[in-house]
Amino acid sequence: MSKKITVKEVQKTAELARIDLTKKEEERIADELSTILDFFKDIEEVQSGDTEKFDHYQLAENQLRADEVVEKKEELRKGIKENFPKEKNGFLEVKSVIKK
Amino acid sequence: MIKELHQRLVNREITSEELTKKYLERIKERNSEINGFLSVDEKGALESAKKVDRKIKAGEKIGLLEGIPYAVKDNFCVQGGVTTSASKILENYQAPYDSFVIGKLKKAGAILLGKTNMDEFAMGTSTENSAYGVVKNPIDLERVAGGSSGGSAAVVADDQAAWALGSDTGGSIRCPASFCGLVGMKPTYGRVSRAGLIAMASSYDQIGPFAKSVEDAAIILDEICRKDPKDNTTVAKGTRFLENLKPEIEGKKIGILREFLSEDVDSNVKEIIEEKIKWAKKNGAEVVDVEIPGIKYSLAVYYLMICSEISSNMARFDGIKYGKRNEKAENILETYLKSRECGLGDEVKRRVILGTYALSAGYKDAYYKKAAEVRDLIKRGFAKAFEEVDLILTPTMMSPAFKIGEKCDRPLDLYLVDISTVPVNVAMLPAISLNAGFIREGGKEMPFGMQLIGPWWQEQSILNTALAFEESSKN
Repeated sequence: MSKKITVKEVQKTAELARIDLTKKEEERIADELSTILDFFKDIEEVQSGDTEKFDHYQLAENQLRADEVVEKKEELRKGIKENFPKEKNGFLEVKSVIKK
Repeated sequence: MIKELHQRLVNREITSEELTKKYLERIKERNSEINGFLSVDEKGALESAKKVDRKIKAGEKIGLLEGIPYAVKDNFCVQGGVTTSASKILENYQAPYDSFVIGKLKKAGAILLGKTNMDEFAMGTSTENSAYGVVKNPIDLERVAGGSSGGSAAVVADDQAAWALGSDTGGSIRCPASFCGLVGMKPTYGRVSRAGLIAMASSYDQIGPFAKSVEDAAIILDEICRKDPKDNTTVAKGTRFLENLKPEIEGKKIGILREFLSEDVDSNVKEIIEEKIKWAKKNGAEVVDVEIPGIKYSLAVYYLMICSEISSNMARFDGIKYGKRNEKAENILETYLKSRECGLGDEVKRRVILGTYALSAGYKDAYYKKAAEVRDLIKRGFAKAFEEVDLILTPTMMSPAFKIGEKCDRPLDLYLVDISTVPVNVAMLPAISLNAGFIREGGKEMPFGMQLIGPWWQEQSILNTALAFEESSKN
């Protein structure tokens, strides 16, 4: 687990996380993550495989609800639409998903 | 304090409107300096206050929190006005609904003054990560108020609100309570509904109060601890914390974790905590050392797991359905990349990337799964310790509030200051921080807190012993 995280790994991870980083940020984050993960590497030495799950609820049942459509008030719908960054005829407008 | 204010309202010595105006004036006078509030709803607060006054005038009975002004951290959704979570990406976000606890408090007639400053998405220990500027500690403006609920603590300590709510993922209520000299409580995971609280790390987040006294904390908890179908982690356990509140120290068995009284702890803090232990013994408590296997891995477990959960929870902030969208993007992928680049701050990016890395193929077992296993080990360790003792006592923080900027350069340094608060969230336990004493630093009397940790669902035991400690320091 103890290893230096490269700028290339940071680039790949940032792409997966959908965050654009500047070159400077990439280098800084590579350094910081290496330091942080190195500090936490001791966790490897713990023999934890046999640890039984611990549940502080001690309730043996799942909490389920019916799989039904619940009608919401128009007011809530309006509130959600008001937060759209861009709207067209009541629809949420986004940039093209498919390349033209 | 809440009971006194309630009595004054009932006796008609003051109206709720007058009381609310008093706090609003204090906010106007102080907010530019302290920066505790991000938004203030003067109109809404005064309207609610007038409603309560009409009730009182009509001779109707009012609840303990009714007509009393409070503040809430800006990661709680409140309908009308903005909910930013102190992030640029949500600078214009208007929550379309109230979070569960806000709904409860509205019904109870509590007066919401405004939303408080915090670390962006609650990621931090000093409120230096807010996109809207640092919160200053009202006792010494050169120091931090703690974090991530720094605004909530600062405004209560500075009399800009009678009490406040915060959220605690690794110490975000207890740390600022310690730094600002308040009572702050993190209840058992599952006590308070998180519905409408903007999530940071879902298996760690818990809502709790900031108050001037243990009694106030009990009053607030009685109102917010409820089962909510919208948060399936909540349980139907009734609470009567205030009714059952009484000082308890004699016969209590208190455990001490020696690692939290090591040489890393400020010597003055250590000395005062040792005095508290002596006082407890003198008053009939039995004090023993306890050990929790795996506790030293708490920070590793915590940061590996929360960053993983953060990377998942933060995925929704992409500029598509709400929040700030970067319109320079050419296509949808660029919309994500650029909106998140401009909208999210450094600490958020750091944690999202660390979490994405920890969850990526080839590393998930080594990081997330391993951390989750060690989490169970730590929980079992606490369960075993609580077979021996009723409560565990530690300092809340290793020192009083540090100076603004002092720990900004190395993120790891800031992670390490949470060492005694984090294990509580790892184990999903309840804990309180209450003022233990003051240390003179730079000509100012800086407060610091002691932490009492209890077994799951035993908030009453924590509150009762905290009350005994509180009363002892008044005498």
